[in-house]
Parts: sequence; C-alpha cells; structure tokens
Amino acid sequence: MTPHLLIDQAVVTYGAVRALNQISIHAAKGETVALIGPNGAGKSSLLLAIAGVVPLRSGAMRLDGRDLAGQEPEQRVGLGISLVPETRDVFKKLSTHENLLIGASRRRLSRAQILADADRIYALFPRLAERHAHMAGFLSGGEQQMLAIGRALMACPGLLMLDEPSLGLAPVVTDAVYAAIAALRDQGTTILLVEQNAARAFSVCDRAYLIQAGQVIEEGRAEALSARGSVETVLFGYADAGKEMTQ
Amino acid sequence: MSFLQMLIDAASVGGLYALTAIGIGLIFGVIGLVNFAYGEYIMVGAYVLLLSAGLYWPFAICAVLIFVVLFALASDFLVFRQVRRAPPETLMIVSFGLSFMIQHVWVVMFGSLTRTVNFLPAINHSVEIGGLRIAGVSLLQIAATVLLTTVLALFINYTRIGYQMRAVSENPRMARLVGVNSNRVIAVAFAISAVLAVTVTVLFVAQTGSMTPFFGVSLTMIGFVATVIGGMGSLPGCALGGFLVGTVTTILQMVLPPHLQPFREAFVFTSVILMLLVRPQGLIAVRSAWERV
Amino acid sequence: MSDEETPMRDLAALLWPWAVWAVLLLALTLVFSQISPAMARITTDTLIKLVIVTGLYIFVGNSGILSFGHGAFLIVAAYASAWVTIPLAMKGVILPGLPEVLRGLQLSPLGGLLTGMAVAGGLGLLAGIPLMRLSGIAASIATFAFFIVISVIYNNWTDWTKGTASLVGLPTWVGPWAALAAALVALMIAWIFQNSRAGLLLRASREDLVAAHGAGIRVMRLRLLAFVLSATVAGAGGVMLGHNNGALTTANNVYLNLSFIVIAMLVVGGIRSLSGVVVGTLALSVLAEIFRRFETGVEIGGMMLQIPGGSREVLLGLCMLLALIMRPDGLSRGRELPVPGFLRGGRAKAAKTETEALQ
Ligand SMILES: Nc1ncnc2c1ncn2[C@@H]1O[C@H](COP(=O)(O)OP(=O)(O)OP(=O)(O)O)[C@@H](O)[C@H]1O
Ligand SMILES: [Mg+2]
Repeated sequence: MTPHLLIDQAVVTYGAVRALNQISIHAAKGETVALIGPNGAGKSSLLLAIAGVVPLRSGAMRLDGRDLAGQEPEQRVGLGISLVPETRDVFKKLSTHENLLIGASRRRLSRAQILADADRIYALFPRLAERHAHMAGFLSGGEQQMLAIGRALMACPGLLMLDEPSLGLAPVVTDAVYAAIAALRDQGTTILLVEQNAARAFSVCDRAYLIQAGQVIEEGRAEALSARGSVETVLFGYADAGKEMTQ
Repeated sequence: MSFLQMLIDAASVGGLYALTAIGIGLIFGVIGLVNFAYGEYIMVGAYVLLLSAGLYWPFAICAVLIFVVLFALASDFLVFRQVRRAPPETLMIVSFGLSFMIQHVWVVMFGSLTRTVNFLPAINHSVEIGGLRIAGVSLLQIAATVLLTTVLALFINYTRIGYQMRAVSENPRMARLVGVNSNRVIAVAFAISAVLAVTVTVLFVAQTGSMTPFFGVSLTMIGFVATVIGGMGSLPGCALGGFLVGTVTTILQMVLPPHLQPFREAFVFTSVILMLLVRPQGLIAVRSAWERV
Repeated sequence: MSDEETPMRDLAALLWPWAVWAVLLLALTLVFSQISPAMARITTDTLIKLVIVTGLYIFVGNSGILSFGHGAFLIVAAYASAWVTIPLAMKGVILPGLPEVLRGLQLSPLGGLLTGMAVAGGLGLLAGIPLMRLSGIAASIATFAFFIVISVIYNNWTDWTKGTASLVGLPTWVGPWAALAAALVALMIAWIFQNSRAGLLLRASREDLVAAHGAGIRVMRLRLLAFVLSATVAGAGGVMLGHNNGALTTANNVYLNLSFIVIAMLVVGGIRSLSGVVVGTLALSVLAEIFRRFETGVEIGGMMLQIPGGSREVLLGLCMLLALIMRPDGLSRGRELPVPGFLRGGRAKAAKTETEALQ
C-alpha cells in the first residue's frame, strides 16, 4: 500500500544553513504522526516544505503517490494539505468569522454550506463563536491558535499539519486543543503533529519520529519510544548543549 | 464666486483626484506596488476614445473599458508578476520603466503632439441649481466619485474576493497557505484600478478634450501625493488626500494672480511637501482592517 | 610586511577600483574621440551621463532611497550656468527679463560650472531638509513631486528661461577631455564618500534603520549630506550638458526623459556599487547608440533595416525591464571590483575593525 504521505530524502537549505538533511518520513491514511525534536531540528521547515512555501533542494514528496513538485501552496490546499503554522498567522485585520471563511477558499461550495462548516468550527471552539465579529488581531493567543486550527479545518484537509499547537497556551486551552485533535483523529484525518511537549504528543499519536539536525534519529510507536527513553536523550541532551552555547 | 461654488469645484476636482488616488492606493495596498504605469492606463484610454470618437458614446466607453482593463491585466501578467517577490523599491522602478516605455510606444504610434477629440461636449454645459451655475461634468465627477467609492468599499468589506484581497494585503504567504489564489485576487485588484482609471479618462477627456502621451504623468503624481498624504495604503486616506489636493488646487485657482496661474501645480506640490514636514506619516496612520486595503 | 609600507599599500588598495575605471575610461576616450567627430560627441555625451549617474548614485547607492528628483538639479544648474556665461552682448537680446546684476555678469566656464554646482547644492539642501524626513517609498514619491515643481517653474518662467523655446548662446567648452576629467573627479568623490565614515554609517543605516537609530547614528543628517553632495555632482553634469549642446530647452519633456535614462543606467548597472554606475552607463549608452543608428537606418546584408523614430526610448525601456526582471541586483550584482592580492592586507584589517566598530 502506498502511504498517504511520503517524504523521500528531502533537503531544504536556507543559504548556507541545511535545515533538512535527506530526511525521509511517511504517514498512512488516518494515522497521527508526531515529530519531536529540539529547537532548530528542522520540524517547522519540514511542514513548510510539505505545504509548499519552502522549496526542496532535492528529494521528493508524494501525496497518495502523486508527486507534489511544482504544486503551488494554494494548489496543495486543494489537494487536502493544510498547515497551522507555528506563528499562527491569523489575518489580524480580518474578523474571526472572515478568517474562518477564507479557510474554505479552495472549496467550491455554496455560501450556505460554508456557513454550515463554520458553525461546526464554532461548535468545536465555542470561544470563537463568542468573538466571531471581533478583529482577529484582538484575540488572545489561545483564541488565535483555535482560530488558526479552525481556519485550517475549513479546507476539509485530508492531511492536517499542526506546528506546536500548545505553544504558549494555558493548560486548559491546551486540553481543549488536544481534545479537538483527538476528535479529528477519530474522524480519520491524517495528522502531522510537531510538539516540544513529547508526553502530550504521545497521548494522541500512533507513531513518532525523533528529529535532530534535519535527520530522523529514531522512529517508532509512541509507547516503544517512551519506554526506551530516547526522547529524553534527544531533547534534553541537546537542550543542555544549547544552553552552554548561549552562555 | 461664492464659497458654495468653490466647495462644489473643490469637490469635483477633488473627486477626480480621489479616484486616481484610490486606483493607485488599492494596488499599493494589495501588493506594495507604487504603480507609475497607472497614469498610462488613463492615457491609453484617452487614445481609445480618440479612435472611437465616431461611435455612439456608450460603445466608445465600453471600448475604452475593455481595452484598459485588458491593458492593466497584461501589465500585471507580463511585468509585475515576474517580480512579485521583489522589494517595493524594485517594484517601483519596474513600474517607472514600464510607464516610460508605454509613453514612448504611444509617441511612436500617435506622435508627441497634443491630439484633440470632442467627446460628449454636452456634459460641459452648465446647469443652474439654486442660483449656482454648475458644469454638468462637475456633477458627474462628484456622482462618479461617490458611487465608485461606495461600491468599492462594499466590495472590499463584504465579498469573498474582498476579504481575500485584504488577506493577501496583510500576509501574502499565509493567504496562499489557506488556499487563496493570490494571482487571481491581484488581477482583480488591477482590473478594479483600471475601471477607476477609465472613469478618470472619460471625465478628463470630456472636460479638456485633449491628450498627449505624457498627460498621465501629472495625474499619477497627484495620485501618488494624495496617497502619501493619506498615509500610504489606506483607501479612505487616499480619498481624503485626493480631496485635499483638489481643494488646494481650487483655492490656488481663485487666489493666484493670472501670471502665476501656470505655476499652480508647483504651488500644489510644494504645499504638499511642506505638509509632510509636519506629518511625515501622512494624515491617517494605517490602523484598522478596512483602512488597509 | 614592514610598517612604512602599509599606508602606501592601503592607499593603493583603496584607490584600486577607481584607478581601474579611470584607466579604462581614459583608454576608451583616447580611442573613440579619435575615430570621428561624431564618435567624439558620443563619447562626450556618455561621459557627461556618467557624471550625472555618479551624482545620483552618491545619494541612492548610499542611502538606499530612490530619487526621481535629480532631474531638478540638472535643470537648475544648467540654467544657472547659462545665466552667468552667455556673452553679454547676446544676453541683453535673448534674456531682457534678467535682472541687472545677472545681465551685466560674464563668468569664465569654470565660474559657470561652480555657479551651477553651488545652485544645485543649495537647492539640494533646501529641498533635502523636508524630503529627508520621509523614508522609503514616500521619500521617493516626494522627490518626484519636487522634480515636477522645478520643471513646472522652469517651463513657465519664460523671462529667465525662455521655457519651451531654446535658450542659445552658451559657450560650448565641453569636449571629450573636459567630460573625462569631470567623470573621473565625480567617480573619485563618490568613491571617497562611500568609504568615508559618513558613507559607511549611512550604508549601515540602509541595512537596518532601527539599529542605526539605536546606535545613535543621525541618519537624517547623513542622508542630507549625501543628498547635497549628490545634487552638486549631478549639477556639474547638468552644466556640462548645456555647454556641450550650446543650448537649453525644457520642451518635449527632455528632463523627464533624461531622468529616466539616468535612473535606468543606475539600476541596470546595480544601485549598490560604483562599479555598477560605470557598467550601467556604458552599457546603456552603447545600446542607445545602436538603437539610434537603427532609427536612421542600417544596412545589413543588402537589406535596409529601419525602426520608426522614437523606438529608441521604447527599446531602452524594454532593456531596463528585462534587466530588472532577470538581474534585479543589476549587472554588477552590487559588488565592487575585487582588490588584487598583492594590494590586500592592512586595508582589509582596517575595514574589519570599521565594521566591528559599527556593531
Ligand atoms: N527563513 C530562514 N532563514 C534562514 N534560516 C532558517 C530559516 N528558517 C529556519 N532556519 C534555520 O533552519 C533550521 C531549522 O529551523 P526550523 O524552524 O525548521 O526548526 P524547528 O525544528 O521548527 O525549531 P523550533 O523547535 O525552535 O521551532 C534552524 O537552524 C533555523 O535557524
Ligand atoms: Mg519550529
């Protein structure tokens, strides 16, 4: 069976910096896959490359066997790829409601259908419903994160990529966000989840990759990885080194 | 001349300038391009009017509309899209080069001398309203300004393309990441700016009846200046800036002695540059969503 | 490396790119001015353009702000020099509207040049004070408005300028050698300025305005300094244009077109380096000349090829667009000529400490 998403030997560079170094990952249809790694490992770069805003230097990316090379970012949204970026990037000067509607840009739907979809998002995140007429720039960080996720969901993605969805959120809000992720997983959406908080990611994912310096170090089922203690080595071993360097 | 009369003149000249400024401000707001070639959209339209002078006037206007919209779309497709990611300075230089090139294509085709056309002379007749004599074209200018700015504001605020346009303007990369076809949105912005240019062309030619390949330059300049006064990229700011320049022009027309009249443009721009000494950021600092585009 | 040797080598390394361009220009002038009188005229014209482009570069290249307003300095300088150099007998007839003081004044060519430069510099100071407060695109737009102000005034101020009619009688003292001398001096001024403390600080502020302010760099003053210097040098070019043709006019948008050509030369060469100035000016001058030949008709293999009059500008515009699309950093890619190994050493170290001092 061809996997839903297949990344083969992908290389991404920014000038002299090599953010991804021949990385290969895959995800089956409906699978939730976590990407864990220290700062600067290249996790965000990987998601951005899949979304099509960062070019591949070499290597290949396939969605359901179809080569993604040459597909513009907006076309990839049409293929079912949606990204919730690390920086959230809600449109600050659009209302909450417009931010949701714009998520459906690629779908040929009647206005009524789009509004019905928006109502589903409001049901998922009631906080957004309360603030639907507000300018998104005035939302709190957590609300913006919900909005960014809601906006991505409006595209009805087959592959949802979330870049550190719990970043800077209060525990309650993180719980809400993870509840939403679990619900999506149960609906059969393929999810790529980038997290610093490995325990949290393991609570929802089927499989995880440990990434460092643009390469996969280890891969396996969540339970197996936590039992082996590899996560601690990758995350904390590197974090300590980083601390020394900044001092 | 009464104060009221002056007010009407200012509103009508200002309206024309406001339309020019909005056409420029819209493109600037969406892709950060200061479009020198905007004046050429106005200019080429005038020559289409010249060529279609024999036609029944609604057909002539349609011809201009079609030609100029296609012209503007072509300029985006062939030139500006090629440098989409370039910094604003480069974009500006590119449009400057394009503007120069179009002017000289027109020089080659039509010569650099003034050409005249008698288009819709009827609208230059004056009507009397409550003791004021008002040229028909002034009324048309005011009406066109009110109508077009209202429609544009509604379009930008309440349609799908409208919010997509605002999204592209705020964060082009994210707009693409949510699936907005930014090239199409930008093309729509160019088409709208072309429609505004056509309005200016028709009113301008009906009023003055003359054209040269270079007559777009000073209108563009007025549009730019109005845009800068308005705070770069705010549409209400552009409109306000246009009206302000129109008012200054009208006042100077009244108070300057005849031998200084030829220098009017110089006075207008000097006063504007001096105004920027006081408020370098323009009259309206860009704040809310609707002001941005 | 011994200690005494270092200053000499530093100086040589510092002057290297200028010297290379100087030798090249000298050789070109030597050859082309001998070919035919027509070629000599083209050489002169190209060298004068080089003076103007260098003037423009002093501001644009260092501050990073585009100016569409330098045409104004060409106008004021050219007319100022005309007012003081047209022979007295003619002046009374041609410009009866001039005030007594000017009508009775007759300066040498050098006097005219200096007058023109002073007027341009003075205007640069006057206009620069408000203009330099603006940044980026707003500043560029305002410089264009400034150009229009000056050109409207000179167009209509017929008592002094004869407007769109021709003002004749300017002594024609400019030839290839005078133009070469002016170009070399202009390049030298630009080179010294860009390597001076003021120039380096201004360039640093171009990269990061906020940091420059934070570091206490008085950006406005530096910009103003560059603007005035730039206006003065461009003004010299304006004066020489007049004294090359022997006549001045504001008809047919000459100064608008000239502004375009000059800006095109700068951006095609690359606005970030002095080498770009030379390369861009030479490249577009050659192209302009080729296009001009085609306008008058060229025989190729028995076929007469001719393009309609006025196509030259169209083609130049096209070249500029293509250059910008394919090479947005210009032909020079913003780099200067590399200094050869035998001159390197002390100078490189000095430059390094300079950049460190900035940070
Ligand atoms: N736009 C860019 N330009 C230059 N270098 C970049 C850019 N974006 C990322 N990098 C570099 O690429 C490497 C990978 O960055 P990336 O953002 O993908 O890491 P990450 O794993 O998401 O880190 P974090 O956990 O901090 O979000 C880093 O070394 C980073 O400095
Ligand atoms: Mg990241």
